[in-house]
Amino acid sequence: MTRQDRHTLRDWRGETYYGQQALKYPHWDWKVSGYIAVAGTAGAAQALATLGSLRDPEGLRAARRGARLMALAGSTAGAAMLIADLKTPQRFHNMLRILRPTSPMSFGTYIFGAFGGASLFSAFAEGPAVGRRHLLRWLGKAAQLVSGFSGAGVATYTAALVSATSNPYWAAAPRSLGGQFAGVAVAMGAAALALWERLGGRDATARRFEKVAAIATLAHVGASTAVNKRLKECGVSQPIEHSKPQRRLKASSLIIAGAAPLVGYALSAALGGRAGRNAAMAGSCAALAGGMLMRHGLLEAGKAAREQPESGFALAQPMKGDDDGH
Amino acid sequence: MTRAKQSPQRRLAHFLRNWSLPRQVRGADHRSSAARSEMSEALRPRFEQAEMVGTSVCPFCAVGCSTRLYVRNGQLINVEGNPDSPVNQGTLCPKGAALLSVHTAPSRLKKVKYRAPFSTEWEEKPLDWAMDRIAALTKKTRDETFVRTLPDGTIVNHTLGVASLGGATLDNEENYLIKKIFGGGLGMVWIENQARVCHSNSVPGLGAAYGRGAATMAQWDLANSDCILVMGSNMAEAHPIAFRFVMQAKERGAKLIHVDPRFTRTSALADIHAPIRTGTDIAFLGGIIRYLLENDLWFRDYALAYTNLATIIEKDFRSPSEDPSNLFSGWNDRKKSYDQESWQYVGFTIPSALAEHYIDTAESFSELTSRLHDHPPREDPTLQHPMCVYQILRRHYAPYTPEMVEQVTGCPKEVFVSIAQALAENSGREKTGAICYAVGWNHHTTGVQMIRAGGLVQSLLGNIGRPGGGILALRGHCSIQGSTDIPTLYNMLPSYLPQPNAFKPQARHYDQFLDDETIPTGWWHNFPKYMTSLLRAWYGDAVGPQNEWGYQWLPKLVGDHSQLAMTLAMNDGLIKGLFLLGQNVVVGGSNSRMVQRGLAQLDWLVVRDTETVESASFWQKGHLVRDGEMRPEEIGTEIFLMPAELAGEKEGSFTNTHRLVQWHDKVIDGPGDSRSELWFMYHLGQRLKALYADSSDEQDEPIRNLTLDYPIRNARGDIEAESVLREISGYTWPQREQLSSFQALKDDGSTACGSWIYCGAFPENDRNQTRRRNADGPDGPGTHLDWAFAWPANRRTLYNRASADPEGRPWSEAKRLIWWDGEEESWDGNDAIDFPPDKAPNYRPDWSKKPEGMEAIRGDEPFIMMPDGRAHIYSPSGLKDGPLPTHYEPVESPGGNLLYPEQRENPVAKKFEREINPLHAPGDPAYPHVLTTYRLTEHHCAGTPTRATPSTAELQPEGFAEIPPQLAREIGVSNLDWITIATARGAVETRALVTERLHPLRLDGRQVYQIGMPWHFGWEGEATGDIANMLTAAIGDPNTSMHENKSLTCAIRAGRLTERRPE
Amino acid sequence: MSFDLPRTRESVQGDAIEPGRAYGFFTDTTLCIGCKACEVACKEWNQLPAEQEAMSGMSYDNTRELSATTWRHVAFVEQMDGAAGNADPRWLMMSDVCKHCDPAPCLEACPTGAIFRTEFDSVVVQQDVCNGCGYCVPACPFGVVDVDEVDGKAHKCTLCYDRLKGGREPACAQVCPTDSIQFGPLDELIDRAHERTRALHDRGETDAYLYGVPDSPGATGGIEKLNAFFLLCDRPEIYNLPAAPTLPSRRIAPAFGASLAAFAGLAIAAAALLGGGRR
Ligand SMILES: Nc1nc2c(c(=O)[nH]1)N[C@H]1C(S)=C(S)[C@@H](COP(=O)(O)OP(=O)(O)OC[C@H]3O[C@@H](n4cnc5c(=O)[nH]c(N)nc54)[C@H](O)[C@@H]3O)O[C@H]1N2
Ligand SMILES: Nc1nc2c(c(=O)[nH]1)N[C@H]1C(S)=C(S)[C@@H](COP(=O)(O)OP(=O)(O)OC[C@H]3O[C@@H](n4cnc5c(=O)[nH]c(N)nc54)[C@H](O)[C@@H]3O)O[C@H]1N2
Ligand code: SF4
Ligand code: SF4
Ligand code: SF4
Ligand code: SF4
Ligand code: SF4
Ligand SMILES: [Mo]
Repeated sequence: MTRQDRHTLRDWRGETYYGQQALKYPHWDWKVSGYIAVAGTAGAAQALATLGSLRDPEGLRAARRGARLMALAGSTAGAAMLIADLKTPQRFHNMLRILRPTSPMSFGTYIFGAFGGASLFSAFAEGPAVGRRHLLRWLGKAAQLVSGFSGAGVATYTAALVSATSNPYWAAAPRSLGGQFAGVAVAMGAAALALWERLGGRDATARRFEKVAAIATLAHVGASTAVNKRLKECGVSQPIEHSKPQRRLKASSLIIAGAAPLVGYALSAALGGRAGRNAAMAGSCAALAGGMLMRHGLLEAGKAAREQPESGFALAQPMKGDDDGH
Repeated sequence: MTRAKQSPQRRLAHFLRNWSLPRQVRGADHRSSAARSEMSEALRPRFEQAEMVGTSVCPFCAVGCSTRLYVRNGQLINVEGNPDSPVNQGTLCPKGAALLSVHTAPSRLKKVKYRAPFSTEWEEKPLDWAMDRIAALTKKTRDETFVRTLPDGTIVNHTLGVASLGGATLDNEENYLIKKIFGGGLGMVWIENQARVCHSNSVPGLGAAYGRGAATMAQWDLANSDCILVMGSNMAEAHPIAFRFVMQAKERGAKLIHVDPRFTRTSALADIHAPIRTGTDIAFLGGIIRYLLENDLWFRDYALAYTNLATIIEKDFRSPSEDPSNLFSGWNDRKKSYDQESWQYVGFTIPSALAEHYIDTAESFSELTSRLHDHPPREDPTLQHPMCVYQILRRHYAPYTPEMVEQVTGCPKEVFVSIAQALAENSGREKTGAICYAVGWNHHTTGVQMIRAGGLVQSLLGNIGRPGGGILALRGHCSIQGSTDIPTLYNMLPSYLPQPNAFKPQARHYDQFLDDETIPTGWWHNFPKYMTSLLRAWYGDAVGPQNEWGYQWLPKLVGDHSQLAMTLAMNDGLIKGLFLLGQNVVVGGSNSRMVQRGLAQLDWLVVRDTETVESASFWQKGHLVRDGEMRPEEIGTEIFLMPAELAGEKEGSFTNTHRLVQWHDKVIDGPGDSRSELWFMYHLGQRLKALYADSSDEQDEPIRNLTLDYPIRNARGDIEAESVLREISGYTWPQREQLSSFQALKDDGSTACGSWIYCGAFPENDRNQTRRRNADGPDGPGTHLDWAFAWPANRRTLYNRASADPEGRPWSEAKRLIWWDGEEESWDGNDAIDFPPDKAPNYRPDWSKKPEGMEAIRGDEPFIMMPDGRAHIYSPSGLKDGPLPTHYEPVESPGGNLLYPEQRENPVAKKFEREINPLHAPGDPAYPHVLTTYRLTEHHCAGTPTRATPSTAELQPEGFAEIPPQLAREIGVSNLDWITIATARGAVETRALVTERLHPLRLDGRQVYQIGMPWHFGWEGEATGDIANMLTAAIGDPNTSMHENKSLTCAIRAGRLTERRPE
Repeated sequence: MSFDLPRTRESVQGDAIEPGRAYGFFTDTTLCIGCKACEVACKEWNQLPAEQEAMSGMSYDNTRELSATTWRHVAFVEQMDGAAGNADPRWLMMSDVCKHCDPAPCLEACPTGAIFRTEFDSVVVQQDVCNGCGYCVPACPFGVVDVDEVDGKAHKCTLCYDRLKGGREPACAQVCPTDSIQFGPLDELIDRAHERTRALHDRGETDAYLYGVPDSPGATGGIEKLNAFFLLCDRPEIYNLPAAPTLPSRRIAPAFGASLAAFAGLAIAAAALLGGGRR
């Protein structure tokens, strides 16, 4: 062989630079995955409750109340986690210095900000002080609408946040990942509301949310499978095939956040009664835990993939990484 | 990078000021203008804060890069390459780039550290106290050991009890004072510096061939070469900025060849890399010479006219290739040396241009050379005479066939031939080639002859004195050329004047000395003028014809007082006090255990350095202590570790590798009690003068009468360095009017000159030519005659008369440098003419008038320092190991000598064999591998500054040895594992860097492994490692006592030195 | 005896460095002697601390990678005999640096505007703004920018923004002994680089190619050009560079869009299911 075919002509044969990483370590930790999960759940819950209360304001009054509280809790906890994750947290306000349409973290901050503000209002409207004051209740409703809408944004923009990086694991399948994120968020939001309803003894409404959770879980499983397929196609996941993060991610997304809730809800439908109630609650818990673990697993798998330069180089072959080709 | 602590209000205010959103709403781009912060708006470069910018010279290597030092409040804030300099054009290598940190390192010494005899710790002492104590000790030891006369009555006036080592890092002015005060004042003969162990072989190696022992061309002139052979040098790593010009040549189409045992960063850029076994360069170059001769590829018009190729040699001469003993004719088995009569030109003895141009001659030398006036050397221009140099050369190199080259050197025959061809193709009228070498050629017992061999190739190819042609000796330290010219070396006085020797007839009288040392023909005929002017400069009005100009005050040599011999003399207790003036001999000296033992034997030791060096802390952390041989409480050496100043902190001149004398300004003060060597020598000298002021002892006259009247320029007591340079450059006596050139020097005491080749560096009272800083512009001639000063007489290309043909016309328009202007009746050109400026090409001596000096040199003989005006392809005298380079094996090598089975190694090599310095027998199976030691771009020598400076230390953070994968497999180690390397002298542990860049070679049908170890490491600093010189031996080149650290044998095994650090 | 080679210094110092014009680096690895002066000059100018205390075993590369405190890194690749099909032994050296991408992934990702494009078209992290969110880090396809644990802010090469403002070329380019690093106006550099590649091809060094100029490896997937671009002699991965990096922001629309669509789908389903009370 001559030198001529060393670069352009020949294919990449897996060479790396002494196996050194080609990308930097993403400093994000559980706080960011926690944020994605918690805020996503709260956002989805608020969106579902808003939708639900449009359809059945009375039946879902309690659920709406739960969602409003969840939104408040979720946005507060989310904000805390986000700020805590900054390496220079005393400058968190610089997030509002500019609006970068190219940065999901930037526009996401505004979405999240809107969600947080609206959630605050909507939760306030639930408070005893509001009583019968119409204007406030009306405002509460409006805030709920805004919060529900922005909640959908909060639940979904994080797919862009993660995809719009150069980490091969996060970037290889933006579309499927989007589906996955939406699915898991809705599943978690619905599961949370279902749990809320179950705990409040409102089994009937709980079952409605469980159905939503089940469908969302199916969507999530489908999207996850597509993500995995795409990662494999690009050669991104092979280098970490047998690594712990990869195994954990698969377990959390397909089993804990996939099979387990579905089995729980199916059992619930089949068994009915107390056992069914327990099965459903277990399923919801699995959905929540699984969703949480899945977000974290994704973060960790991304870090693991970054350790393997082959992973990133595989994605960065001409044509391959260019787009989400499915 | 500390976390800024700000109040919330301040932060809010800052946020609002920097708030981009409103700007963005107004339409500014969020990517650029809208996002810009306050800090970005206000940002300015640090250099703008400087109150003063000074010009200095990098204190590391001999390239001589010019630097700019930016100062604020007396502190350095930035250092950069000087873009105006034609040497570095603004660039720097990593060492130069780290100069800010080197200067400002917190680890720098700021106070005198003192270690009392047998003490276990350092104490801080006041500078004055230390100076007084050192002066007192110096006087005491000198007085106790002074020898006035030998038993036979010869006045020697010397002390063997005090020694001084170091100088290559120092200014010319400093070296001058060291030699003047220690040598001329106190009578010390053990005065040495790095030049001995660095490039001492270059002086005879080049001097015997061309007349001056220095690089013949300027670094920047490499850009004009058509072919560059880098051999015995790792130029890209050790002279990175000089390599800049190699790259420029390459970009213009020149071929670059690297011949080196290892594949290095130079090889990576070369067109051809030839791997060879260490120490086989003469076999390789001899092969080239044979190839050129047999294929008639040499530049006939040049070589025939300008070299002694046609000269006829005594008929008794035999070369080792002809003689069954494999020795030259004249071997004296009783003396174990050569008698050189049979080596001479037929009919007379022709001396070489070297300071030591005659050896062990008991009769008066001038009688032997007197016939030089009678007629020119006999020649046969047809080259048919069997005893003409050409025919001798052919016979001598006949065995050096490509096949033999392959067998001896390990370099594949085809690669060798391609190199020979490339050299030939790129020489001749239209083209020129250059050879760059450094210590890969120097550090051998055949080092002088390796360099000679390179010179021989260049002489045959017509590559000396021409643009892009020449031999570039890539010297070591910033002023190692200067410390050779103005030598802190035992065997020479400034400007290559010989130090008188007690055992030669000259010892008795100055007249005899002058008579012997003056060569009747050629430039050296002026010797008496230079010698007397030197004595006048040193002793002023105290000397005159009445007292032989003070000649008897000069200490006389009684043997080899070189660095290796010095180490032995310390071990023997002969030397009692030592000054280490910027030389870290524990790391850099061969056989470091012997060095450390020697230091432990001393009564007192003065170490002057910028950091705590191994040579100062040996009693605390050295191998004697580490290995349990001695405890600090048993080491009686009284030690003074004195903080020294670096180039930017003092003024003076360095002489770089191509003889460029460059002034560096004092820009800041050194930290704390740091002082320059100029300060140290001056104040020590004054203290000694005071101590001896009342003496009436004859032996104290030199120090009492030594001139030492330099103006003090500030409160710290710094003297004016320019006043020393004025003395070096020379003036009339007693008026002290500066002289413009050495042509004005006289032998009647009316001129004083400290170093005649530097004469003219300071031609007028306020004109310091070394401080000139005007480079030629892009359209200028490129010789940069207004940038600094080059000795001699500002010539940039030595022997540049040879750039024109015998008639005085440039050999070609493309390669013009100087030419004879028939109308003006003078030489003209782009360089200062290295020839009498109005001597016509057709000038012929009138032999009937017994011409003297330059009268005896024809108008077409360019090598004016030689008695016959010719380059010596054949060196009839001056060298102890023969007139022609001959391949002898290194003293330690894995086998026999395939070319000369009867004589394996250099028969006159110096072996300092004794219990502490054992040598391996040839082919000793216990030490089967070849070991070589070398440098890395990232560190400098013994490593003090670069290993202590984080930004360079981290680049090569640990000691290591490079070994080939095959050997690694054999001994069972992988990359980064610990290995132990051992010789009979010692053992070291280090990391293995397993690399295919080290090829196993075939030698005599078997596989030979070469391993390499950088020698930079030691125990001090941030980047540490074992000292490679624990492995090396004191073995010397016969001419110079240069060590052989480039070629030895060793054993290697996996694992650490368990007895010291269990795994 | 004059020099006729392009000097970056002459091309830049003659006509002052003008704000509003795009500048960059052409790093010609065929000229690199691996001296690491660029690394040192950068650390000295920017007063960055040292990091490494142990050998890496990776040839002469003990720096290993670019980081928050190492903004130049010289890579060493030994391709001696026996290495995969190499005709001649080679020891490749390449001085890596921030690519000052156009458009720049790190900049696009930075939510605070700390990273911005200067008047010299370079990409700079403004230390008074950065809050250490770390988003730029995974955004960079070249593994360049990093957040420093000591001060909690992101750092990388500034293309010597301060020096450029003072009219002087970057420290690493000035110091480079062999002009392997050439600084200058980008348009001129790109022309020179193409010329250089042609010249190398004419000399038979046909493996030379440009990485990062428009329409070449490195300038892919929405990244139009790298303002610090390279002449390489082997596949990019050999030098730890991606062959075809992509602009992360191009994935925002697909990810966000798909996610919103999926969410909307599920919302419709949910609306149907949640209305169940009336049934
Ligand atoms: N970076 C850096 N630069 C320096 C110095 C430094 O310490 N660091 N020191 C300065 C000093 S003091 C000096 S003297 C110069 C020295 O400059 P160089 O001579 O270039 O330095 P070395 O690395 O000692 O040796 C050069 C090469 O000689 C090769 N070699 C070994 N044995 C042989 C042999 O028998 N034949 C041939 N042909 N080659 C052989 C080695 O493999 C090595 O690559 O560098 C100066 N410049
Ligand atoms: N095995 C092996 N041994 C070798 C070599 C080899 O290739 N292999 N090379 C040999 C060669 S070529 C050489 S030149 C020698 C070099 O050996 P050394 O000269 O011992 O090495 P350096 O580290 O340069 O020591 C110079 C010291 O001077 C100090 N210094 C610098 N400037 C000043 C100043 O202005 N004043 C004072 N007082 N001190 C100053 C520095 O800090 C440094 O500690 O080593 C030789 N030893
Ligand atoms: S060490 Fe030598 S090459 Fe490097 S900057 Fe100093 S003088 Fe120049
Ligand atoms: S300074 Fe230049 S030659 Fe040296 S390593 Fe950096 S790019 Fe290469
Ligand atoms: S290389 Fe990385 S850090 Fe540099 S501009 Fe491009 S994205 Fe930003
Ligand atoms: S870490 Fe700093 S520079 Fe990087 S994205 Fe966040 S704010 Fe911007
Ligand atoms: S441009 Fe400046 S900051 Fe960037 S690598 Fe070069 S020296 Fe460092
Ligand atoms: Mo040296």
